Amino acid sequence: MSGSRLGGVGAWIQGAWGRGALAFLWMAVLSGVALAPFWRGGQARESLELLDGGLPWGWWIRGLHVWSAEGALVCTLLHSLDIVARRGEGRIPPGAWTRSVLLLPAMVAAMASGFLMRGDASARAAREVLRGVLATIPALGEFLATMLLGTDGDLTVVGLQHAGLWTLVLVVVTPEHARRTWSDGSALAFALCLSAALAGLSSRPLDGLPVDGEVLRGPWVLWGLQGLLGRLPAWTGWALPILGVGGLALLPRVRRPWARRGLLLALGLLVLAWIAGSLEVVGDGTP
Amino acid sequence: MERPSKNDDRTGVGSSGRRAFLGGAVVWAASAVAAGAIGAMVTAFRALGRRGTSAWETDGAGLDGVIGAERLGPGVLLRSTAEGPRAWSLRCPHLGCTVIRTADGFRCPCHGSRFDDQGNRLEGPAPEGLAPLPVQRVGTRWRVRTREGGA
Repeated sequence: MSGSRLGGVGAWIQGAWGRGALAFLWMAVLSGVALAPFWRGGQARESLELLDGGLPWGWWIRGLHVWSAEGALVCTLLHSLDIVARRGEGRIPPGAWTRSVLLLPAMVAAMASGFLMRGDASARAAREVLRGVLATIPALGEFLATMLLGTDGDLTVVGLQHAGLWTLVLVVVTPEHARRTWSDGSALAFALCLSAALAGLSSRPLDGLPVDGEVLRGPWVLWGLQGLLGRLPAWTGWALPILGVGGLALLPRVRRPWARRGLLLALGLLVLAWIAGSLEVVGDGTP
Repeated sequence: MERPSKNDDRTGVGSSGRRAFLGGAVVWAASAVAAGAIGAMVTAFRALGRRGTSAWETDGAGLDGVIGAERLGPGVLLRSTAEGPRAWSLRCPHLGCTVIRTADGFRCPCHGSRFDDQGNRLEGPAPEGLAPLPVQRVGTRWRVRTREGGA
């Protein structure tokens, strides 16, 4: 009996990251809905400045949105790590596993597009870097860059993709994966309290043109890419993430232990390279 | 009345054969429509990508005859030189970030490429120097063509 009780507690703890990810996701979606009426694609920076300084609690709701999105990504990463560490991917149907793995790039895309919607100097630079990376995709690169990032200074397309594509994918696939729409009360309360506290304690100021010696970093989820692109050709900006996500998606199909170890080692090296690229950007700022 | 089986071969074409034929025809037709739609979308997006301002104009006052005088436009640096006006794109040829002016040239704030005062590449991942842009005198104003095919 005590064994089954311990098993239940263990299962609850093991599922905590997944429930946390779902709770943070809903916090991000609901706060995003509250922010949407105030954002203007043609005057993105100005509309956020008005939100931060001219509307009561606007800065806090924006902070809540950003922190809850980051909480969702961190919980999703830890949930994936937990599953792989317990060899849980073999117990999930292959299609469900593939959809779950695709949630990771969708979440990064949602966060990156949300960052671009700031419209400040860092966001403009990140948009150009992403455009340059996408443009190297054979045949479809230019089309994808225009479809996902828009043209000129208007960010309406980016906002549409943020809310209408990436968030929609997350809102549809995550509950399907979790087999529940809402997370439990404790996870929702935890997500709300943590995001609310972080939003109150740490503001997310917009930035201006850099002076000599400063660097434009972009969103932290892309720091690794930013660092690697200083040394590697631009096409690695889409090829390496596809390799990483593809490798993770293939994991349940790799039956032989030595092959699984090899694949995990390759994925680990990719993660290490990503971390090294991130540290380089954080360090002296010039990859 | 006897119903024909799925593999009824009295007509030469069984119902499963007709279904397979119709299914194949639908798939091919849908593929053709999808290919046409994707082609149209790519063409439309390419046209959209080429849209926008193709030139930047500025008043010549303060630049005419003042060797070394500079003016910044949107993604453009215009300089008055002894040989006449010269302009460079401030778009880094690496991945397109806007470079910033430094004491001795230009620097890309994204990946650290450096360029000298004439826009020549000094170091970093940029494959080449900053692109020179054609400058045209229009009355008392200077016009910098910022895109191919622009006015």
